[in-house]
Order: sequence, then structure tokens, then C-alpha cells
Amino acid sequence: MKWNLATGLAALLTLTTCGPIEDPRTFVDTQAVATEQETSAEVIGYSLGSKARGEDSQALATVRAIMPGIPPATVRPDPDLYARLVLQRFRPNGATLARVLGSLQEYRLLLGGANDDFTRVPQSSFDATSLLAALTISRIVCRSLVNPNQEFDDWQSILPQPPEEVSGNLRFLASRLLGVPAATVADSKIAELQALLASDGTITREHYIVPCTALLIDAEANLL
Amino acid sequence: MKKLLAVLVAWSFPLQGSQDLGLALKRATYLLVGEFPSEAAFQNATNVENYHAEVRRLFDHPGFYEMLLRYHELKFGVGLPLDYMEELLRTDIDQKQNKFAQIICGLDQSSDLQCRWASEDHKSNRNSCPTHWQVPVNVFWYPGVQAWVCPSLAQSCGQDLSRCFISFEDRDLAINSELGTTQAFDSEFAVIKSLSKQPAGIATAVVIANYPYTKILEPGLTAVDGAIAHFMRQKHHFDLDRVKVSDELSEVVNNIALTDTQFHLIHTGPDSHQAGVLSAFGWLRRYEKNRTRANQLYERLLCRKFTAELPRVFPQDPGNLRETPGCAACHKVLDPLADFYRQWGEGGQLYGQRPDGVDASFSGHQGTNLTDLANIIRGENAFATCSVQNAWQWLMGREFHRVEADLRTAFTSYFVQTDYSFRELLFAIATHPAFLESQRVDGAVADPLSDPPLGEAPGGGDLPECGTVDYATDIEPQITMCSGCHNSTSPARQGLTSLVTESEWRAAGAAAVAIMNSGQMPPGQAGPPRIGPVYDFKEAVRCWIGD
Repeated sequence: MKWNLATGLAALLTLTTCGPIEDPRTFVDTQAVATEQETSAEVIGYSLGSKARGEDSQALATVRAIMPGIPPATVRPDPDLYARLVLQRFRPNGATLARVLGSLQEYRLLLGGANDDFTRVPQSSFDATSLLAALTISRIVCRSLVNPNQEFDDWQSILPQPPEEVSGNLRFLASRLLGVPAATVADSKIAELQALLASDGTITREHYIVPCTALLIDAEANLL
Repeated sequence: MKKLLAVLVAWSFPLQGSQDLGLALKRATYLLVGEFPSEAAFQNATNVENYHAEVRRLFDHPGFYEMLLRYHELKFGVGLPLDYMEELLRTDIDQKQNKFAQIICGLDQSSDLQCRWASEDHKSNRNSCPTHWQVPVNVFWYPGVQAWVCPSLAQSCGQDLSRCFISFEDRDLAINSELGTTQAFDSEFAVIKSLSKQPAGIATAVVIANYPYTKILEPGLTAVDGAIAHFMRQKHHFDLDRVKVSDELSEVVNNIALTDTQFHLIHTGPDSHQAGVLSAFGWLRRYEKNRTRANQLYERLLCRKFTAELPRVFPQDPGNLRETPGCAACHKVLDPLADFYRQWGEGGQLYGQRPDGVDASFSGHQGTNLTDLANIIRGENAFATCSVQNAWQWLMGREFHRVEADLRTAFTSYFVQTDYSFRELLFAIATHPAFLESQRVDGAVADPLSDPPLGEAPGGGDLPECGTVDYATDIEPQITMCSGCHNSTSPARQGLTSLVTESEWRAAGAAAVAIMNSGQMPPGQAGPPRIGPVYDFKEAVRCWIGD
């Protein structure tokens, strides 16, 4: 059967005259109204009927009142998405991002990623292997973020201030990589990171790779 | 006992009342959209009301789609290796697969995109025509970018190359590229990845549009993205009949942009062989045997497991597993459930002939096809409970503890009450006081809740006791709710089971009860019936057939 306006209307007429209750299967002839770019309709073809409902405050209050008092468990970020999600916070999709992710592919399984058919599911906790893989990945990711060289095309450092502004840069990195408000990053944390800069003189962006790596493998960033 | 458990749990877990909204927002934002909250979001979420508003905002974030797709991919466990593509190639062109029009693209030294026939690859790395003959074409996978090709290739593959299958020299680059953002594209990888994810795509698109979650099993419902549209438009290369692509669906995919990375719902109308996720290629091919398919849906959609102790001495020929001691405990349920899949072939025979109807049963309901199975599952409270359990585990990082039985019931009831709004379920969990706790516990749960029981109506609770029901008095006057469409003379019947006579009701009554229980039918229902004529009718039928 050719799916065109005529058969669509015929189907619609047939269906709406069928039975005492209105049939929700209203046919939408997308051919007649849509172009290739117009795919915003939520369902193409027959209607799916009514949407689900929205929030029911009263019923929700009842659910919230039940509180056996057991907190959430720690959750490890999905190892298959880990590097992509970190990079996408700072970098646009494109060839450079794809190339960096491509270079990290070989570490994905070591990090605890799933295989093709999910007979091996993503690891939900860390072991020595995945921690070492996370360390390696973090170094590569950090280079691409704080001191990208020509390998990374036109990417610029994400450091908001000149390298010598250590405290401001470290606070920025800690806030963005740990996912906490900048104001809540403790001074002691900044001092610890500063100790990792390990510079005997002029501070360059390169020096920030180590504290950045330390932040990416920090428990606060990896155990939600 | 419950009180004792509660005391033990309170003793075991160091908390009570210490909420951390910032920490909860970080967790919710990361899990639901894959980012950390902005400074502004942190500053806003300083009281519970504002925290709720921030969580609500996440559902409109573009990252929500991606994380939801991943969630469903993991829950359904669907993924296929690349070589599954080959079985879909047409072999009816001179019985030779090398007629396949595949081209290889790559970047030259000046980063210009060049494409050539794959068949020429073994000869040299160059095109078969002189450079000055090459013409530019706009490639379909990255609008605005041109590739240089020989005229013969442009003629065969079209001015956007969409009529050919593309291989890219730098495979890693292609695999990690978002469609429409780089020059790199690999058809095989993109298509098999999307076909694998299709069941997850159906469920994700249902949630994004906030349709009832029961629609993930809707007969005739599928989902297509740009990569699958690219595949489906190549009838000359692929045997689309094998993946049951109807003419209607083929026509519709012409409207999907090839660079579209999101799945779109397509509903081609009732088809008794279809059941949404359960009949998607990615599900059927990933789980090749009917028993495996049945086992997986039992576990993944109903959160139930077949577990039994094997016989001490395993018989060499166990005979009928449904009856053999030691095997029957599971197989008397598993095998009739697997029978629903007999309309589809197993493994490489997936594309074989399909019998019109089979005798299958599950949870006390008889059925003949996948649509019946979908309706039985949707009519089970276990489906709602399992959806709650899965969502809870996603956000809370652990299963329900035994002392949280009431909480699971309450979430399930709320889920059903919102007409299976998965978004509202996620919102309810991410704003529940337990989620806001500042403490964290280990993910291992030593005292998990038992599997959701079968045979309960959606929303939970015991079924009311049955009185005396008479077909002529209690049922026949009401059958017009169904027989308007479910009759053998209606032009709109379209393969629907006839529900006009007493014998037809006797045969199909259980399936009718299941589908009414799920709130799918009669048309116009806004969720499972709790009261009113449809509820009364459904109960009358249930009691009459002696369920």
C-alpha cells in the first residue's frame, strides 16, 4: 500500500467511524506536510494517543513522606562516557575532539568499559587496573585542557588567568573538575594542589597538568 | 519483623536528616545530563523548592536525551558487533555481494576530503580518474563540506553520496565523531550502532515526548535516526524485507534527516508481530534464541529471574523440559513465554517464514503473538515495579532494601498514577529525601526486596474477590466498548482479534483484561482504569473467565 494522503484520509475516516469510542489512531500524512528537515513531530505516522500526566504534588508528597532513611550509594561515572563527558564540558564536537577520543579508545576496556554486546557491563567500581587507566587518560585529557599543543589544532587552554595566577587557576580547575561551587573549595585543597605544581621557577601552563590530573582522579570527582 | 529490620538498618546506616542539596544537585545533574551543575545552579539550589526547579530544568537539557539513551542501552543490554551488517546485504544481485557500492573516504595532505570506490582500493590509493576530472560533491553526513570524487562515483552515489556505503580511512576518528560535526563518517559503524541501539531509542523517544512508558511495547512502534534512515534508503544494497521494513516505513524514513542523531518515533499502525522494543532488530538479533529472548525480557522488563537448583544428576535426555523434574520449575513458565517469539526465527533464521499465530501463555494469560505478550506485560504491576526499580538503581546507585518495600510500592503507585510518566518517576526519585542525603553507602545490598510478583494489577494491591458473573447480563451489554473495532466485518479490523461472540470472549478474554488493565484500551483511556464502566467491565470479564 502506498502511504499517501488519500489512503491516509481513508484510514482516518475508517478509523473514526469505527466503534462508539473515538479511536486515537489518527493518521498523520508526513509526506504531505514534512520535508527532510522537518522531523520535529514527536510521532510520525499514527497517533500514540494521550501523553502521560505531569506532576501530582499531592501524591508526590505522600511518596516523599515515606523515608526509611537509607542514603544513596556511591556511583562511579560510566567508564564508557567518562572521557567524552569531561572533554565535552570544555570542548565543542568536531574533528579534534573525535581524534582525542580516538586516541583514548585503547584504554576504554582497561578503564572498565563495556564490550560491544554488553556481555561485559561497565564496571561500577574501581580496581587497580581501572585506576591506572584513569590516571593515563586523565593526563592526556589534562594536556588537552590546560596546555594543548599543536596536536590539538586550535584548542586554547581553559585556564582563565595567566599561569602565574596560581590560586585563581587552581580554584577554577578544582571547581570545574570536581563539580563543586568555587566558593566551597577549601584553601587547604588549593594548598595541596599548589604543592603539586612542582615548579622551581617560572610557572607555565605545562605545570598545571599534574594538579589537573590529580583532580580528575580525585574521589570527589569520581564517586558521586 | 519489619520494625526489627528498620532498627537494624537505622543502626547500620549513619544518617538521618542530613541533607546536602549541592551534592544532590551534582549527582542528579551528572546522572541525568552528563555534566556538573553551573555556579548559578549551585547558587540557586539553596532550598528544596529551588532544588526541585533545578532538577525539573534538567529534563529540557540536550544531555538528558544522551544519558537516557545510555540508560536504556544498559538496561536492555543491546549491542551488536559490526559483522551483523553483512547478513543484511542483498545477494540477489547476480548472487554476488561484491556488487555492493562501497566507497572509501579520507583526508588528503591538504585536509581535503577525497572518496573513491572500495573496489579500487586494492589497486592503488588513488582515484580511477585524473585529478582534474574530479568533481566536488556535498557529503550528506556533514552539510557544507565537499568531497572530491570521480564523475562515475558522483553519478552512482548521488550528489551527496547518500546512495553508497561509506568507509573512512581513519576508523577511530570516524567512530568517535558526532554525525554532522566532522568530515569523518563510517556507514557500517554508524548503522550497526544505531540498529543496536534502536530498542533503547524507542524507549528514550517515548520518555522524551512524555508518552506513557507502556508505549515502549507498542505494536507497530519503532524509532529511526539518521544512520538508520541512511541504511533504509539503500534498498538496492540491503534486503530490508529481512528486517521487516514495510513500504510505509520506507516512505516515512525519507523525511528523516540523515544527519539526525536522535531517534524519532514512527508508528506504522497495529501489527501483531510487533511489540516495540521486543521486536526491534537490535533486541531480536542480540538475543538470538526464543528462550533467551523470553529470559531477558523476564529479567529486564519484569525484574524477575529464573533461578532453580539443577537436578543432582542431570539426565542425558531430559525430554520435555516443561515436565522433567528439576527443569520444570523454570521451563513451565519460560517455554510458553518463549513461544510468543515463535513468529520470529532464531539466530540467522530470524528472517524466515513466520507462522500466523502460536499458542503461548504467560502469567495465566493465553496469547498468540507478540502483541498479546506486550499487552500481558503492560497489564502486570511487575512491569511498573521493575521500571521503578531500574530507575531507582540508576539514580540511587543501589537496589531497594527490604525495609524500603513501602517506598517501592509508593513509587510504583505514583508511576502508574501519572500514567507511566518516566520523567515524573525520575523527578520523584531525584527529589525524594533519600536522594538528598549527604551520606553515601556501599552499593551492595545484602537484604534486597524480593522480585515483583506477577498477577497483580498495575498500581499494586490484591485483586477484588469475584462474585457470580453471567455473560449475557454482565458482559454482553458492554462489549461494544471493544467490538466496534474488534469485529470480523469492520473494514478497520486490520487483523484485530474479533470480540463479538461469547466464544470469542472466552478465547481472548484474558488478553482483553490484560490490555484493559494496562490502560491501553478501549481507546481514550488516560491510564489504567481504577473506577467506572471500563473498570467494571474489565473486572466482570476477569471474573467470568475465572482468572
